Amino acid sequence: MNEHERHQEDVGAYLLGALEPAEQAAFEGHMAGCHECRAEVERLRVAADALPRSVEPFTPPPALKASLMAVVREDAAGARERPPLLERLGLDRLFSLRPALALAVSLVALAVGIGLGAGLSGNGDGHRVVAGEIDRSRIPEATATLTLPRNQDGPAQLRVTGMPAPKPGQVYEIWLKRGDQLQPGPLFNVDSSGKGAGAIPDDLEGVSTVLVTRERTGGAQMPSEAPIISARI
Amino acid sequence: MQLVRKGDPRAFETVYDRHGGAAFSLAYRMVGNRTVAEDVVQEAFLSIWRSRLRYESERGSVRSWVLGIVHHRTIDALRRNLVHDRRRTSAEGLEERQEAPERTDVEVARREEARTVRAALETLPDQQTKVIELAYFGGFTHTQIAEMLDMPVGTVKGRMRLGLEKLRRQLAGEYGGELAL
Repeated sequence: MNEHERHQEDVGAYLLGALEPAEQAAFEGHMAGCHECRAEVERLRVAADALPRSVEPFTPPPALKASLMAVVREDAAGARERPPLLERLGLDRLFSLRPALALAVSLVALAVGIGLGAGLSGNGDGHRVVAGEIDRSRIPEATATLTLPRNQDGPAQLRVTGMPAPKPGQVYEIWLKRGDQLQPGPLFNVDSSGKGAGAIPDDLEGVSTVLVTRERTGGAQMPSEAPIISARI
Repeated sequence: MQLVRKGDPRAFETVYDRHGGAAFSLAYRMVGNRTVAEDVVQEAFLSIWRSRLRYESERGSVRSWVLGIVHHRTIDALRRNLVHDRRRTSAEGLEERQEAPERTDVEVARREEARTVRAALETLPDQQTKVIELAYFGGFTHTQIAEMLDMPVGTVKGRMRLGLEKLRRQLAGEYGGELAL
């Protein structure tokens, strides 16, 4: 049984949430590069999505909504008042580019024929492509590009190559820097050749930088490490 | 969802109003305890609020996205054993259930939808229904289910997949080839 056949058996268990965490990470890694498994998951997803709809409806207590909305409103108010999250986490240093990182970025920028800080190109479709800055001390072989659709008429795509497979229980997480806030974005994995992609929601209004960190499966609310990739829009 | 993404609490409140009942019903079905279900739903909706940029409309409805997150959070709670312990020691029973009254057309439609999905589930062979329910509603992994039912892991995985395949076909037939789910 080859790798694909082995993972194909996991489709049902994956959709039901019945894989062990390491198996789930391995399956998602395989699926990122396997069109057939992705299609099979999407085909059967409708059945898994129907399961919660079979449940007898019960009414949640009003206190639950009151308590939830109190936290949400406090969050929303705090978001307008908090000091910059990047600064609080010490991530702002990344944007001033440490010397080693700056050198690595420069070399990559030269290699692909673009200028540092102006890693931007376009194509005939009017899409813009931004070259990501890579922390070569942690992902030495990686490249990253962010494709921005014309007039934001679809999701932006972050594509990576040469990435190491995340450790079991880990996943790559995209972050969006909007103003002085850092917001969690989509998760993605990479296939066995180190290629992967993450689709970013189409509303990028106000987003200045797209970042990537390694987080536990399921994602994090705050980054646990300095970004390994950053792409300035 | 555009307003939710931009951090508008009132828009988020609408999302809760639309899907909070289904979320609570799912969590309650899984944990069998109102207090734990409330904790899980609050945690899940806060996670939805704080990760609202992850929603991708082309990958499914808001309802499926919300229920998927509630399901994962409830499984986390089940696997932390907190719920199993509390469920065993809980004095709560059927008498404390508060079924949602059928007040609106939407609620009537959801009860009908629930009956339809249950009817489709009942057409599956018992062994397929069992592994699906243990996994989805019980939060057990395929290896735990294989141990519980004393059968090979491959058989459990196979029954999960065959069961979902049959359920998909049943629902497609029920909805005239177009799944409204």
